[in-house]
Amino acid sequence: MNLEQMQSMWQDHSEKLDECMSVNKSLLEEKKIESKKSELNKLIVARSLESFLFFVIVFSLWKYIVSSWGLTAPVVSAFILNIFAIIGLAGNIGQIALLSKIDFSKSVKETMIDLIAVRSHNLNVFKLIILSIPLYMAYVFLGYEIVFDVDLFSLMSEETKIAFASISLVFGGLVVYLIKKLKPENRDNKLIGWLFNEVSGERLTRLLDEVDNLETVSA
Amino acid sequence: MQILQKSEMNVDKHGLYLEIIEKHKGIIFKITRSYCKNEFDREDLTQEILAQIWRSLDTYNDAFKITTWMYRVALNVAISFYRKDKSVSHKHTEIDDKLLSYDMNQEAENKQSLIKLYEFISELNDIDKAVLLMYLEGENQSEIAANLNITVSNVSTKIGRIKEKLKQKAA
Repeated sequence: MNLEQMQSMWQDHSEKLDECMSVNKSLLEEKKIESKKSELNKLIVARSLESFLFFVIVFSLWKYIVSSWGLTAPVVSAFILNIFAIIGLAGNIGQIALLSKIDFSKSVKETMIDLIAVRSHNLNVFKLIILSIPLYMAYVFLGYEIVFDVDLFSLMSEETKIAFASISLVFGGLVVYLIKKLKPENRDNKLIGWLFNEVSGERLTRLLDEVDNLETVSA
Repeated sequence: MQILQKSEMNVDKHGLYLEIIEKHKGIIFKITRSYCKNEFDREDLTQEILAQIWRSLDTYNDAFKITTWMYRVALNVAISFYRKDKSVSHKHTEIDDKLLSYDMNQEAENKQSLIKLYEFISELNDIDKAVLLMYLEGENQSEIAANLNITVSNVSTKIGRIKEKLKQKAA
């Protein structure tokens, strides 16, 4: 069979489909109402809930900062964590904006690029948020203050502070290394590939492949 | 192919939706049949395409033929659709209620050739599938290029490659 024969068979098939195919109208009605459950809408709802959660965190941290104002370790910790919570909040709002922009009636390439932008944005927000790992003691200081009403930093010896600072420095180096490596082109590395899929989803990988397929002109 | 004018959209969205799905249901069948290997994925993809058509209907641009517009929406959903391998978990179950029903036995005389044709399409990558489907629908190369947003020469190369694959398959 050649392409022309294939085309003529396709036309016959199309006519037959129009004649003989049936649509389950009651199910169609049901699914239309459920269209809010489409994957895109589910993502928008999930991001909205996350945004609300980040907003609550930002609001609570500000409330704490204002009520406990002073140059203490817990307040400084709350301030640092607040910055990351704001990044998370802004990131989620950005995601909602990008998701709302997606129009499936655009050309295939434009739609793929819009979808890739959503996934890449997710990855970039993740990179910013993991910058808080070297500052892990901020979580500890704030937690101790809230749960036990103890300023742990003021009770720590100089040696302990130096030890924790050194661990933070090591984490800092690791995080910077990870952020530099967490790129689509390093997906072949087992660990990076796994992390990349976990953060941005297998879909980004697939979409990047599809855009490559679009651009490829030679076999 | 029928051109739907924006003025026709003054009828309620609901009625218009049912009308275009009824008229052009074949497009959805052909795309889901080409992009999904098992019927559970096909049913999911059908639902996703129908949901997206409903969602996108508000922004329908009458510069496009309705069939071209539907093809764009359905292809975009199909290409970005996440195929979960449900063939294992649903091995022993059947779908009772299908959105679109069609029995290929109704094309008894062409059944085997059609199965082969769909097999050939399913072996192509997602973009080549889109090119071939639009080509088979009778779209010219510049229309295919516009729908994909690539150059006409790129489309021509892709069609040439598909012809080559078809020849190798036949040999």
